Amino acid sequence: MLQVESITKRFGGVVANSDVSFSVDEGQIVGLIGPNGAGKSTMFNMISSIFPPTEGNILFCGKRIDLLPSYKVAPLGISRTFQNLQVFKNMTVIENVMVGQHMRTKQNLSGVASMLLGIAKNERKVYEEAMDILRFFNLELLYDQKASSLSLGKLRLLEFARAYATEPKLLLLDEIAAGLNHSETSEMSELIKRVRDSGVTILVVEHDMDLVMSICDKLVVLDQGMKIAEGAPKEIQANEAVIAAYLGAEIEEEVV
Amino acid sequence: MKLQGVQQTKWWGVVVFIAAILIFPLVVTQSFFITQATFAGIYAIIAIGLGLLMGYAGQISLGQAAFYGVGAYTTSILTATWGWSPWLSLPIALLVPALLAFFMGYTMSRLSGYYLAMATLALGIIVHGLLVEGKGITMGASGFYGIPQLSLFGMTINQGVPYYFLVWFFVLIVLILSLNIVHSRVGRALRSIHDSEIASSSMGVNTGRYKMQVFILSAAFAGLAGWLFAHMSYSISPSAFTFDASILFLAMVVLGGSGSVWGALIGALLIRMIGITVHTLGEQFSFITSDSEHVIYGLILILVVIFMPKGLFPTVIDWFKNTSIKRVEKKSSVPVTPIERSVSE
Amino acid sequence: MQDFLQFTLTGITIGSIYAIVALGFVTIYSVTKVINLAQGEFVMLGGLTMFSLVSVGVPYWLSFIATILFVTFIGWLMEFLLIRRAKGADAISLIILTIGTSIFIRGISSMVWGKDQHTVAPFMDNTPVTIGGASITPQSIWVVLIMLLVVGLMYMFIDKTMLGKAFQASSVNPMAARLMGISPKRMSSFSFVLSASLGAIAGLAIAPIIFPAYDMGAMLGIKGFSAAILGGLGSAPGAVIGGLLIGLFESMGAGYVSSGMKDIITFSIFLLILIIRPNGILGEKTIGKGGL
Ligand SMILES: Nc1ncnc2c1ncn2[C@@H]1O[C@H](COP(=O)(O)OP(=O)(O)O)[C@@H](O)[C@H]1O
Ligand SMILES: [Mg+2]
Repeated sequence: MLQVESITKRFGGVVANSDVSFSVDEGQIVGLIGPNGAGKSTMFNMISSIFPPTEGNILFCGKRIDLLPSYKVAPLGISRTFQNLQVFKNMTVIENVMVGQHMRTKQNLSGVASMLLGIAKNERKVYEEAMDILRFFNLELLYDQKASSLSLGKLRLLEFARAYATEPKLLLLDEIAAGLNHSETSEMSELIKRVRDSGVTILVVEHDMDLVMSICDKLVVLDQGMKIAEGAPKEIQANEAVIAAYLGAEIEEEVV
Repeated sequence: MKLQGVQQTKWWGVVVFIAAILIFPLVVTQSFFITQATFAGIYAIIAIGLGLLMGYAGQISLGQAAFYGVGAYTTSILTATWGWSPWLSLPIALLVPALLAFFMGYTMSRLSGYYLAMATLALGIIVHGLLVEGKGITMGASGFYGIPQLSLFGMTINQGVPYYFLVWFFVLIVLILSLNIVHSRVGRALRSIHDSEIASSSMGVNTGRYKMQVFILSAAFAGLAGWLFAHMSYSISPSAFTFDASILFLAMVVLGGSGSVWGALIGALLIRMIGITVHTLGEQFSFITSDSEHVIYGLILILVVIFMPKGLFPTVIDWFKNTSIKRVEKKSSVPVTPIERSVSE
Repeated sequence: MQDFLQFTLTGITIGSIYAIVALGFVTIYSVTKVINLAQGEFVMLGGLTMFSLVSVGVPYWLSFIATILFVTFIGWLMEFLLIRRAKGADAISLIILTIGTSIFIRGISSMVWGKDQHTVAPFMDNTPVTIGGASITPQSIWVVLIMLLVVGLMYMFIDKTMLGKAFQASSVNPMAARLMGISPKRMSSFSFVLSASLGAIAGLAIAPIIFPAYDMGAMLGIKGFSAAILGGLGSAPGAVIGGLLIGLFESMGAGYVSSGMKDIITFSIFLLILIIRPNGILGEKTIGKGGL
């Protein structure tokens, strides 16, 4: 479904990704892991076309997407969450989700005419759908709260819900469980599985190894921009390069 | 149909507004105040458009007077020089500024923030310069005169109460249109751009296109105001369309509150009222001059940004909401859940 | 040819002033990300304060120093009273804040100095000299020299002093600078002080040429801002190039077309350049990390 082909990304002198290739098959949950600064978020940003790769192609359902503007990627069926939370904080919870539904509720010319009279006929339908989505993510009680008043755990859920509202085929989750406590994390991994079961393919970046190991069908490991391993969770756990990368990172952190 | 938790047009507000328009000329009969209220309406149209641009598209225009001037001169030339009917020239007076905005937005689509601010500022200076220099067409600095009055069903719409109603009728249309836009999916998309443009475009919102559309709409509104202004006055001159005028519009929006359609309207009224007050006081006290007016506008901009960044209207509304929630809290002895409390913050 | 030389000289003179104003913009912008549209008012205050001091009989050199100190103080005050309090406001609000300040200063100045233009004596005997058929006044030469001096001093300051290094650091990477113990507040304050003194110097230098009046700041500010944008906002060499270019467009426009058309021409060219190079002449296209 998603093919990442020899992607390199440079920011001036910094090489954030270097010749990375991997693929994601339909119906899978694939984990993209690696120490901080490995280039995972950069990869997500290229898949969602926030910026183009320096070299290489990204194909989605056989179509090149790396040169599209970012708003054209969502209609193809790719949606995402953000590591550093990009919720619409001045909007209510349900409004956030309704923005997720934005492109599925095209207004035609009669819609424009109804602007003057204020009869937005789809609004009710959109609203109820949004409410269903909120129920799915256990956010229904918060629906009329300003997003800025939510706790971190709820914000992560809201980002997830909003991305889900676009009805994606492929969902990119960037550190979706970062900062969550134990029970929230396990709730999150249940949710991810339920979303996958509803027919969405998932690519997830996560540092919580329990979560990653328990839900992923396949893992891709990045270190300093390069892919150092790919395979089933079991294989990765035993992979020496991976262990070295993680240990190295830990030692570095201790030194700092 | 009330959708809890979603911003919607509050129709009772519109009803109160219409009532206020109708009652005002009954209460205040001096022609001076009617004329001033008419001007306030013209400014309100520009301010509402600029408010959409600033509050919803997150863009700043330092040259809104250019679109206002282009609208006014377009209709003046079409009607006085070419002999068109003013009603026929109305769509053109909206279209020409809109096209100008489209052209600006199209060529400058990569510009944002400070660059767009400077580009609109430059446009304002260029347009003002052309109005002064294009003597053959615009009659230059001394002003264009001989602009025909409007008439409807064979009756001329005179300055005074009839024109007051005409202007405020258009304000009403602009207001309702704007309210419905900001409360539609488009408005939601625009508000989302303001909070996180990246997330917005990842949801499939074509942020550039919406920004452009709002820019064009704000230009068309300014063009409409120009049309109203031209046909109200027998003559117009470039001095009404300077950088200072653009700043005045900006002050209206900032004072009233840019994230709110009502705020822009109220800001326009307040700024106009301040202007009148300073003028009236100036007739009595010699130390109050037109400079004082500028000092006051400057102070307003400074104070609002520092102490009331959202602007007057949203701040007052928030304050009302807070106090009413507190009253409810007091009345009911039921403990307030953290969620409820967070609303009042 | 002689005309061309004359227009070039005029353009470089006025362009030097725009360059200094643009440097003021860049100084503040690079550290605080504030576009200070009141920059032109510093220039106006410089010219008019000099006028007042000289006309009450203060010796020329003393007026010169006092003017710089006074305007610098105003710049400090502006940062301390206003900008600091609005920290965290978005870009639009900050622009509006500086516009408000600019209108306020202008209004007060018109009350203090009236609406007339004022005459300030030149630095020294001002008999024009002719170079290749074009004439130039010694004061204009002074303006250009002062611009060069300012650029040189700025360069030395940024490159050779500790304070300058700190300054540079907090503009390139505010976070790291903070970790190194550089106070962002102090740097913000300092950028306004520096920028106001630049404005004052520009005002002093140009006062004998353009007869300062309370409303001269607006256009100077706008053109300085254009110059800074044209050069690529945040780039000091860009600001100087931008300033000189705007000055040249203007004098060529005034000379070859008409003085009424000069602003139209200048800003049209300005817009054209922005269309071709949206990030200015020396501006790098940088993708902001956007917190991702
Ligand atoms: N927009 C950007 N500009 C410059 N450098 C960037 C940008 N985005 C990421 N980087 C750099 O690329 C590297 C990878 O970052 P990132 O993809 O965020 O890592 P991860 O998400 O794996 O922790 C880091 O060194 C980071 O500093
Ligand atoms: Mg990351």
